Amino acid sequence: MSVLGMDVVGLGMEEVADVYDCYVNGSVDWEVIDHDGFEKFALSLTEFLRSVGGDQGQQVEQVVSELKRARSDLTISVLPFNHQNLRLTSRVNGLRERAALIEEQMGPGDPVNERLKEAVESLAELANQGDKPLFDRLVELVRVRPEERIAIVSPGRVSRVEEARQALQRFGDRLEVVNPIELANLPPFETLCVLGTPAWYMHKRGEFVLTVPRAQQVLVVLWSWIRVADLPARAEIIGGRTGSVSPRPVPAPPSPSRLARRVREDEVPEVVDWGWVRERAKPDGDVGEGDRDAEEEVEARLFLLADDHGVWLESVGTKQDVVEPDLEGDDRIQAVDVADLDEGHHVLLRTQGGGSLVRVVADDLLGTFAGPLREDQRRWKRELRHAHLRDGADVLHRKLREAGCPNPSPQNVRNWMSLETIRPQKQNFRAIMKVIGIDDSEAEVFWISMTDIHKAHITAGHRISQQLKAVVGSQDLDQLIRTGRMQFELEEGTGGTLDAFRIDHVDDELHFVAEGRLGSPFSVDPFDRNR
Amino acid sequence: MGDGNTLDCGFQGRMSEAWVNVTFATDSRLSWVFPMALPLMYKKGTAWERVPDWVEFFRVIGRCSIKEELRDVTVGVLVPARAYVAAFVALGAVEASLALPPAGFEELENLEPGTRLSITEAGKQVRYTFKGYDQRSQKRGMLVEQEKNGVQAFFPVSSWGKITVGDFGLDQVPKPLWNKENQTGPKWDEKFVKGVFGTDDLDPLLVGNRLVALIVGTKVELSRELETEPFAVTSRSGSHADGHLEDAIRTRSFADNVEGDSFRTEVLSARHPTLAQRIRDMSPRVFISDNPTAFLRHRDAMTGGCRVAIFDLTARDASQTIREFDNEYAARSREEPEWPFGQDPPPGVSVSIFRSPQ
Repeated sequence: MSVLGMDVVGLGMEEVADVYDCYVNGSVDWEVIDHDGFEKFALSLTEFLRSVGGDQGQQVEQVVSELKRARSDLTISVLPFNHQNLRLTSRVNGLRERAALIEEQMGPGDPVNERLKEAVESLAELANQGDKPLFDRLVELVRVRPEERIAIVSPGRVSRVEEARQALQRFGDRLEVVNPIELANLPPFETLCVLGTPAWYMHKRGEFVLTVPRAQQVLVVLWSWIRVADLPARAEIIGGRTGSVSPRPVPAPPSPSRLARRVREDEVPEVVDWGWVRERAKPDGDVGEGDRDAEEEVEARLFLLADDHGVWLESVGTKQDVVEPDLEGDDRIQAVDVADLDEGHHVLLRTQGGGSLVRVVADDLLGTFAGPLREDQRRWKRELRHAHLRDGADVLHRKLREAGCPNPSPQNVRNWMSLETIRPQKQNFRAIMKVIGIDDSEAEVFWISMTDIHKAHITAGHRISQQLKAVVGSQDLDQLIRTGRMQFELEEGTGGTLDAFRIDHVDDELHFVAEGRLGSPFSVDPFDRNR
Repeated sequence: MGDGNTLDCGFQGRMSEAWVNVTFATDSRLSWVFPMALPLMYKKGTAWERVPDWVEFFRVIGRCSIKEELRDVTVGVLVPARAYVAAFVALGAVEASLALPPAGFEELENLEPGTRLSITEAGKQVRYTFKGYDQRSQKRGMLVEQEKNGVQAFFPVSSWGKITVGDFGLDQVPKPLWNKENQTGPKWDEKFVKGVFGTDDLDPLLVGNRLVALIVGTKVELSRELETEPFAVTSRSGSHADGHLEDAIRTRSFADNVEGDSFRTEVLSARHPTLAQRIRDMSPRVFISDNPTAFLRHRDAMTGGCRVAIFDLTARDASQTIREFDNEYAARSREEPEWPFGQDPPPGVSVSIFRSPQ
C-alpha cells in the first residue's frame, strides 16, 4: 500500500484549509483495548522490573532488555501473538535459558527469580495464542466508518509500519498506515487511530499527532493496562494572542478503578528499538565478514536511516558528506562533523563495496603501495591507543607535552587515534613517535608514508567532490525529499554508486565497532534476509 | 480606520476600462484599505472558493510589517501548518509597499563612480555602472555605462524612477526584447495581479528593484506554494483571471528571467550557513522565518526590519524554536508595540509580538 499524496512536496491550499479546520474542530478521544493474556504478561513484567534493583549482572540486564522489547513490540503489533515476525516462542526459549542461569547465580527462592519466571511463562502462554486484538479492533473501527478516509499512525520503525500495511491492505486506498513524519506531509483524514502510548510521541517529531489533530477525529488506541497521566499540552508562545475560538479541550485519559493494577506509560518504552538495530548490525557469518571484524574497534555512533537502514559512523574527528536538497549547485554537498549529524540530515554512503569512498579511491591511486602504507598507518595508531589505555589520558598528555607536542588536548589525542585521520602536524607527529617508542629514522619513514596517504586522500577527495557536485548539483532531488533515499551514479572508475539516506534517529549511546563496519549501510528490515 | 491600532496603509487602487468595464465585487474584508482589491480565490475540488479568513489575516500581518513602527519588532505566529503563511505575509508586505510614496532620489545623489546600478529598460532590469553626474540639453542627470560593451547612456533626473542601486540585471538589453513577439507584454497574468492589488498601475511593482520581504525557509516547499498552486480573482461580471502568488510578489529566485525581471521578494534556503550579505545590503523591510532552522540559525542577522517568525506545530524542532522565541520575548525591551493588526487572530492561530532586545 503506497502512501497517498506523497508524490508532490507539501500541501495544497485546499488541504491546508482542512488542516486548520481539523485543528479547531477536530476531537481527540480514547479507544481502550484489552486482552487478558497480554495484560498478565505486561503486569508480571512490571513486577519483575520492580524487583530488580541495582546492578544484577549482564544476564539480568539482557533479560530485562529482551522482555521490555517484547512488550514494546506487542503494544503496536497487529499480528497474532503466535505469528510475530520475531517469533515469541524463540524469544521465550532464549529467555528460559537465561532465567535458568540467573537462578543458578542467585540461588532458589530469590524474589527476582520468581517474578522473572512469572513474566517469562506469561509470555510463553501468549506465544501460543492466535489472538490479534489490536488488529481486530482496528478492523472494527474501520468497518463502522465505511465512507471515511482513515489513517493508522504507528510511531515505530518503517518495518513496523510496513507490517501493519500488509496486514490491513484489504481496505485499499481508504486506509493508510503512516508514521508521524509522513502524517505531517499528508492531507488531513477523517479519522486517525494512534497506536502506542502518548509518551511515544513525546519527542521532537511526533507530539503534534496528539496536539494538532490531522483528522476530524483522533482515537488514541490504548491498552487497558497502561496508565496515562495526560496528553501533552499544546505548545504555546509567550504572550500569544488568540481569537475567541480555540481548539477543543482534550478529554482526560480513562481512569481505571482504584484497585486495578496498571503500568505507567513511561515504563513502557520505546519508539526506536536500538537493541534490535544493533542486533541487525552484527555480522551474520557471510564470507568476508571475518576480515571486517578482525580490524580494530573504534568509537562510533549508530544512525537509523530512512528505508529501514542503519549505519555506523566513526564518532571522533571525522566529517561526513551530506546532501542538502534545499541548496543549489555545489552547495548541495556539505561536509558535516559526525558529532553534529542529526535527524533530517541526508548522509551520502556507499551501498556497494562499503567504507569511505575517499579511502577506496585513495587506495586505488596508491596502487600496490596501499597495503603496506595502510599497515604503517594502523601500526602507529594502534601503538598510540595502547599507550592511551596503558598510561591513561593524563599521563599520556604529560608525556606528549614533554616530547614537544604543543597541544595534546584529549580531543586532539582522540583525533590522532582515529583511523579516519591520517597524521597530525609534523611537530605533533614527532612527539607521538617518541612517546610510542619509534626511533627518529623509523619515524621519518612513517612520516613519508603518511604524507603519501595524505596526498592520495586530497587527490581522491577532490576528484570525488567534483563528480559528486556535478551529479548531485544538477539533479531533481524530489525523490530524496519524499522518500528519504536516492541513488547517485558516479562516473565509472570513481566508485560506482552512492546513496543519500535521510537520518531518522540517532542512538544516544556510543559504541566500539570494527573499523570495517563503518560507513556501510545495513538493512534493519525484518523482512529483508539479505542485509 | 486610521486610529493608530489599525491599519492605515491607504492604498487607492485605480482600475482602467481595459481590465473590465464592470462593477467589481471587491473584497469587503479589504475594501477599507484596498478599495478595488478583488477577493482572492483558491481551487477547492473543481470550483473556486474565497480564501479562508486566516489567509487574509496573514496578509494583514504582512501589510503592517512594513510600517515604520514595526521596524525591529518580532512577530511570532503559531500555526497548525506552515504552508502558505510566509507567502501571504509576503503578499501583504508587497501590496502595502505599493502604497508607500516613491522612494526619493536621495540614494542616487552623491554616488561614487563605479557604483553598480540596475535600470529598467523595456521591462527588464539592465546592469549599469555609474560614471558621473552631467548636464545635457539643460537637464541634469547621470551618465552610466554598460560594462560589457562600453555603451554609455544619459538618464535625466526625470527618469531616475527606474534606477535602483544594486548589482542586478542583464549585462545588456538583449536583442530579442525588441522582437515584436516579446513586446506583447509579460507572460504572467497581468489581470490577476491587477485584480489582487486592485490597481491598474503596476509600475510601482515592475519598475526597479526593491527587496520588500525576504523569506528564509525551504525552497522546494515555497516553490510549490508560490509557483504551482493556482489562485484566482473574479469580478461580479464573472470575468476571471487566475495566476500564482509569485506573479504578485515577484520573487527573484523564481523569476523566469532572474537577472532581467524586477523583484520585490526573495527566498533563501534556511540551510545556508549564513544570510547572504548581498541580501542584507538590500535592507528588506520584512524578514520571514518559515521554519525552525531559519529562526534558530539566522535570527541574529535579521536586523533593521520586522521579523515574522512562523512556528509550525508539526515541524521538527518546533518546541526548541518556541523555547528560543520565548527566551527572546523574556529579554525584550520594555517598550511594547500596541497590537497593530486591528483584529484578533483567526481560529487556530496564535500571535505574539515584541520589540527586539537592543
